[in-house]
Amino acid sequence: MKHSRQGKKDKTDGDDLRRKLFPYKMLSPFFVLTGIFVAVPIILMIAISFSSMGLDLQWEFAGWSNYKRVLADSSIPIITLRTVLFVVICTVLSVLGSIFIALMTTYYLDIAYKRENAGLLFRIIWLIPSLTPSVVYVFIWRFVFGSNTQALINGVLDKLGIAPVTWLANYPMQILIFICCLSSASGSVILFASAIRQIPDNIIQAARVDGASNFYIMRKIIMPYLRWPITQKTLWSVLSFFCTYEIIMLLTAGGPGGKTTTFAYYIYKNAFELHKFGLGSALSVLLVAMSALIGLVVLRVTKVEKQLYPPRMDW
Amino acid sequence: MSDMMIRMQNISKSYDGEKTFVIRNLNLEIERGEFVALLGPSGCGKSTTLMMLCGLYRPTSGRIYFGDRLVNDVAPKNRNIGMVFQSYALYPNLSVYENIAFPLRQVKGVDKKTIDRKVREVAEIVKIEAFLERMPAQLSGGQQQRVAMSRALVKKPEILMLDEPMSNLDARLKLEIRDEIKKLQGELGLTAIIVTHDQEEAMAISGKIAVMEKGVIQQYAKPDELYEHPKNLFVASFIGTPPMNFIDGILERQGEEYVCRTPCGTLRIPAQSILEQGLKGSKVVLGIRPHNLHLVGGDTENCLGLRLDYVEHLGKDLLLKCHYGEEEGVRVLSGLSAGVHLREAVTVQVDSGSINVFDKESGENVTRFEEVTSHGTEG
Repeated sequence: MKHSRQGKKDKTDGDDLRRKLFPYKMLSPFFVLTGIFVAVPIILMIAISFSSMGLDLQWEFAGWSNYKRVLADSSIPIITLRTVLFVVICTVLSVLGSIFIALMTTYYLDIAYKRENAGLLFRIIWLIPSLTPSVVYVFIWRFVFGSNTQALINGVLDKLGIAPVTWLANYPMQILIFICCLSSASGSVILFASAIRQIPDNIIQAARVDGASNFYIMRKIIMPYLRWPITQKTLWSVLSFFCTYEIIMLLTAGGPGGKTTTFAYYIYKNAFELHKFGLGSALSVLLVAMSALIGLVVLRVTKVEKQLYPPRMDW
Repeated sequence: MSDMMIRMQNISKSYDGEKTFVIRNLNLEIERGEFVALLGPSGCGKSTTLMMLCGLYRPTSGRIYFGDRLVNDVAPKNRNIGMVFQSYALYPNLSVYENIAFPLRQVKGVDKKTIDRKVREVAEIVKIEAFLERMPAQLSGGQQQRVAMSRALVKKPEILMLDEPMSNLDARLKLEIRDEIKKLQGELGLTAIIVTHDQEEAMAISGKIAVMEKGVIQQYAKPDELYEHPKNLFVASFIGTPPMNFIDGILERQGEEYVCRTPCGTLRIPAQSILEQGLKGSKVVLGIRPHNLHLVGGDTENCLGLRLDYVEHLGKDLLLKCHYGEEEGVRVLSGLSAGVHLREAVTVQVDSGSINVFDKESGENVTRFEEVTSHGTEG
């Protein structure tokens, strides 16, 4: 580019600057949108967390009082611990679950046994939970786990002559985790399935000629190809499970006795049911800090920087 | 015959429930220690044939024997074969050492020392001892090819199968690897099958070539026989660079010889060199190799009149591209181009006895061949 402008040396400095600015120009839509929808809300949230804003929406400086209240709140430690456990268990189960389903359908059905239609059919059915709106999704499960004999499981038990069980009262956390994992694993099977599909046929054929069993091929050939989607899925799950509140709200409303109240739901309750916007914002700031911290841990553990390559481009 | 290593009997293969067949009634016999090439354009079924031999695909019908053993239902790992894929198919997350050791690790009861010894042994034969600790991505194409070879050979298979093993290499490396594969095959006494679309490669490396088109073996013969006496127009057009020239003609018997009238001249062919029963009509196609045409000064016996378009330098020889009629091209291989000028008429003489006559309708070669003499193509 420079050489084509011989004799206009005074312009090269400007060209250099323009070249350096070029990537940022290209990224400007991203900056504008994230600015409006991410940066501004975060700033507002932090501002509100230092106020005593209530239903009147008046911003009145309140110093550290909201944070002091959070520290003094005796239910916070148990909610935090519960949230971390909820996030960790759900993430582990949904990641393992979706890898398992993807391997079973894509590797075993499609590749090893050439039953591609069966694999595809299963994956489409498996996709339904993640496509269902969460309100509908949760109400279906409330019908399944309902306490009276009109509900699905208790109805069946009743027919068999077994006394109904109050599922949601007895096992609220277990059911919550199950429902959250199912919906999360549902969507991410596609991610792993397409990663498995991208493995060149020849590699799996070579392994088969070399005498490797299906299990060995899965462990030694396929799993290494899934490192990047695993990282992606884990990070995404951690962050989204930290923020999960609508399923809890619709399923148990945090109960019984606060047994299913996670941090996100606690924020929702304080901010939008009790209208303590200031306190809710302070809690939110803490949640953001907490999930950022755990997100960083995930990035560290999965050595994400080793999986990324700088783009190869000259211009 | 007891020394047949591989026999394919009436093999057919369909991928869509016997609606269309990729391979139809294929019969192929390969002797122990032979190097056979499956040659053909893409989509001719040569790779499918290899995949059935290695056991990754099952034939829809027919039988495959290795020696006296029916192997239709034998898994690839139990066929005692080694395979090299076009893309090499190295396991990207395993080191070169682990790639080569991979087949050995699948066998129960092989201890670490034996594995180590065998890996180093084969790495030495294929000359990659220096790269054992590297990852496949750190190797050049030629080195990756060698790793793929050693992985195929580490279990000391009886049969080596090569699926377009050299198509990702540059021209010079191709020659080098080609020689090495040939040498290894001879030294280890392997029966080898190579799939390729490169006729030059097939001619150079193998003792016998099966030329395939549309799922059918068109001709299965030694390279020189394929070259000198192609069985039909497809084989004739596929084998040889520069390719054979084809000239349409009308054949007419005149006493002890045939007279063939073509748009660019009349050729006389002795009557005994044509199989009369193969002729369906008088229309024929003459196949003449470029090196059997010679520039001559005046009009003598068995000459063709052409017009010279341009000259291509091949190094030792010149390739004269000529035409007759509207666009019909004829290539002439010549040592010199003295006395000829571009866009002017040239006369070429045809070597007597070098003409292959094909029936126009059936495409079959109707030339009577003398006893085929093969020289030095077997390893």
